[in-house]
Amino acid sequence: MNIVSGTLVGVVQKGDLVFVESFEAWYDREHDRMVATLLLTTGSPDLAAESVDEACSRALERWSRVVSMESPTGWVYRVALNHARRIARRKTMEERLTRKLVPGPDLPASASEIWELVRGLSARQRQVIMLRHVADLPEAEIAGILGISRGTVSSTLHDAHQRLGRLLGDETEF
Amino acid sequence: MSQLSQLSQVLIDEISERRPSVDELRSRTRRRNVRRRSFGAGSLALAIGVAIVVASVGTTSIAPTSPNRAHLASYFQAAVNVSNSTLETVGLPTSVAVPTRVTPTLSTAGTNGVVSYVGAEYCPYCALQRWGLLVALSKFGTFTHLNREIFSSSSDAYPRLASWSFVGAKYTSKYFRFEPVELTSDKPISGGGYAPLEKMTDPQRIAYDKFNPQGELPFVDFGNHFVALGASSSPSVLEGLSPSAIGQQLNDPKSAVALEVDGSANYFIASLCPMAQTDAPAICSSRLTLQAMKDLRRGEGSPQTMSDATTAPVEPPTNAPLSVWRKWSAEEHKFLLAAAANYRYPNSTCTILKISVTPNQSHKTVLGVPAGITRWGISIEGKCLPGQN
Repeated sequence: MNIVSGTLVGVVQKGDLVFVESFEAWYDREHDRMVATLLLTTGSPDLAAESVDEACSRALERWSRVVSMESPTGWVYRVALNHARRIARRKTMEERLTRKLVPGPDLPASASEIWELVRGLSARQRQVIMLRHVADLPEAEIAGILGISRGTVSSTLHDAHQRLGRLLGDETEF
Repeated sequence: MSQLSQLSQVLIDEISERRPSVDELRSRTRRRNVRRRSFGAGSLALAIGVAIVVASVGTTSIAPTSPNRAHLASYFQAAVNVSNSTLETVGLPTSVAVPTRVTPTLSTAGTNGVVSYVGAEYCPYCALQRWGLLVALSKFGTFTHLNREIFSSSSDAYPRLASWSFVGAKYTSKYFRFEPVELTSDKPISGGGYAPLEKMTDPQRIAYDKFNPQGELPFVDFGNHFVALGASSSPSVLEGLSPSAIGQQLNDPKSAVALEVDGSANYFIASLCPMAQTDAPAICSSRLTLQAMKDLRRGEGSPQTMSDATTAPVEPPTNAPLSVWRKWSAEEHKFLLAAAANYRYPNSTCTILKISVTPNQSHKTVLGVPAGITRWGISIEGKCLPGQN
């Protein structure tokens, strides 16, 4: 049994009725930041929204299990990033087969400035940078989401910071 | 915050305008599941759910005011300081009415964890009951702003009994909330009756109507487990006494006032003890209180009794016969009904507005529960002081 809206949910765990955060409360808090993170990772507002919506709907479907995980948000990021990767792969394949031209990213004005800054980073660096500074997740959690070691997260962040610093020509703090 | 975080905040604010609702996410789930079925994909787990909506309600009307540090009048002090040994000596007189045992239901959940007093300033029976409540409640918390002295009506039975009003009084306890209501003043109005003063809250009204269908005053509801209807003993014991004299007699176990008022207080204390979920005061484990609790348990139950199931049934294995699963479903329903009816929001600044137990059935196996078996969920709607949920 789980309960899927509001601030608290009642779930029966090991025979006891316990109350944990509801999906609605979590969704209300995390959704917008997740879309922003995905948008700045993929460069596509549609892909970001689609991936986050898909991941959130999957979380909603099994919220009683997700909410008892160490990091429900981390789980949803992982699902969203995997979904985005699958769609992007399928899209690339279609574009190759149909020889379509790849359109440039259609970003809202508020995202363009950041995108211009980070588009030169590798995909992995962008993911790590966005999960750290937009999603505001700790390095250990980012490692879990991306399935890499914490050391790799640290070094990727370090490289990305240096590259961004060089692009800006100063020692801007990221 | 880093520069990147600052830049992204503008973007995050824009995104919130396009956030799909939870219902849209549910529709998306349904569409996905239909797609999966059409492709004959493996099983899916459809979460079964119902809602708790605990809305933080910003309201200034219930914001706490600063406590009154002024000393209580000496007779109030005497009442709040009645010693445990005096109470022990008075014991459980047969002249005192034992509060009635009631069974909480889903509709009364709004006053779980709340001690309600509903009375009126003119009412002589209320004059007596307030003294007993003061003695008992003082064992679980602290009164302040207790300074509105009154006399019961001079034209009613037991005229001009010395008492005080709960209007403006504050009570703090780590165990429960005390919500007193004085419905009318002691001032007669033209055309009969007395000037209206305070109104019950909606949850209080529900419990009042349910447990007090005759509309007796005073009505005291101890968290929907026990209620006291009318005065617990005869108000005649207060006749002709000043507040100071009453205060004095409360501490003399041989006095008539102590016998009736302290005797009532002993039952009130026993009714309050189950509301002290953890770290109950020592008086709750006294021999006298345990005896009073026994008397309370012998009291009549509500005719509309509900399950007192306290343990959730263990789910059978998925491949168990459907008859076993149906039995489990019925037991889970009972358990959740009892859990919901007794549910008390852990934060005492939050109030339950509505609680219900809702069925959910799937046409296929979900989370190990076979198709056609009903699972149950609890839905809670409530409100909290800002930042308290």
